[in-house]
Amino acid sequence: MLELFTAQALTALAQVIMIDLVLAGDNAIVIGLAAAGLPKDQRRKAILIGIGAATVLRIVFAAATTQLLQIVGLLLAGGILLLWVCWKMWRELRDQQHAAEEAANRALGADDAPEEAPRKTLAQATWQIIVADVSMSLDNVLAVAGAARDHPYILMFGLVLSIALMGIAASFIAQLLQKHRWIAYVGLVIILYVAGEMIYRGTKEVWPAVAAMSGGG
Amino acid sequence: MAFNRSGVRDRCALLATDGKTVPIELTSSKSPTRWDGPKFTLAIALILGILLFGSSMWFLPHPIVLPVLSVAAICGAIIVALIAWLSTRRETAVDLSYWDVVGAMTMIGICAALLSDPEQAIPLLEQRQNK
Repeated sequence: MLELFTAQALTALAQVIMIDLVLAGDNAIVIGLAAAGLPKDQRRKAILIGIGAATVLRIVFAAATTQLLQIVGLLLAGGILLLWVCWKMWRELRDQQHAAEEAANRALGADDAPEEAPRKTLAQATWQIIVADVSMSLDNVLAVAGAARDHPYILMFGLVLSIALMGIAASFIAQLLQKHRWIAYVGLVIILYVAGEMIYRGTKEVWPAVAAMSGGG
Repeated sequence: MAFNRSGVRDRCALLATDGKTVPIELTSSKSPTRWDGPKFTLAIALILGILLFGSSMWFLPHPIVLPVLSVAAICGAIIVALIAWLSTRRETAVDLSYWDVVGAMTMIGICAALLSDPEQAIPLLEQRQNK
């Protein structure tokens, strides 16, 4: 029993957790952000759909990593797709904030306040989660799986652990964002950072091909 | 009756009797329903986080600092989640709850992990493991 707590075992565990956090962390934030505006029962459904989609996409992308690596500009496309998800989420957050302000105005007796904005639906949240999952799973498989290529045991154990981590973290984050809406903007900045990083790396990857084409033409 | 921004009744209100207004206390600051456990936990977590970050910056190679912080934040979130799970005290919807602290710590852990670079951190961890 005691050998489980040796320095080596703890270091290996820290490695696994670290890889899983990078694998599952951004997905957990997107799923939490998308699910936060939904009622409690629908929130659970959205989180389950998000985890399922992310798991399936990871397995599919991991199986086709070699083929995917040959496609130039895939990372850039994924980054732009994620940027679009960020834009949609930001607009939703802004609309919800306006709706809350209008509701407060109505409560204070301002009769000319406009009608309440429509609530987010499960279909909208699911669509956002799946689009974000596609780009993020792609990024994770290409970047993190590449970094841990020599550690298949970590990746295998990591996939299972990342699914659990994604579900638990997404539900904690959704619960937090439901109550403290302003933190959703912090989450949005994190996703924006991930999208920006993907676009930067994708542009660096595409640039030589563009330069060769423009030089050759 | 007075309400604050979060919809909670203020501790003081004015009672009008015979043209005079008299302040009355609606709830006491020493009310038995008031529970500062989550705030206390958040404060402890923040202090421990700052101490850990400072000492890691001092003693560890820089590529490992953020991974260590992220693992510590997630482990802390698990501990606070266990406290929340075992806690029988009902928490009000408007106040800070243990689950909010868990969510915040999870987000901090994920942010630290995303900002870290596993490509640099893993070889360093393996080097230390082999020593």
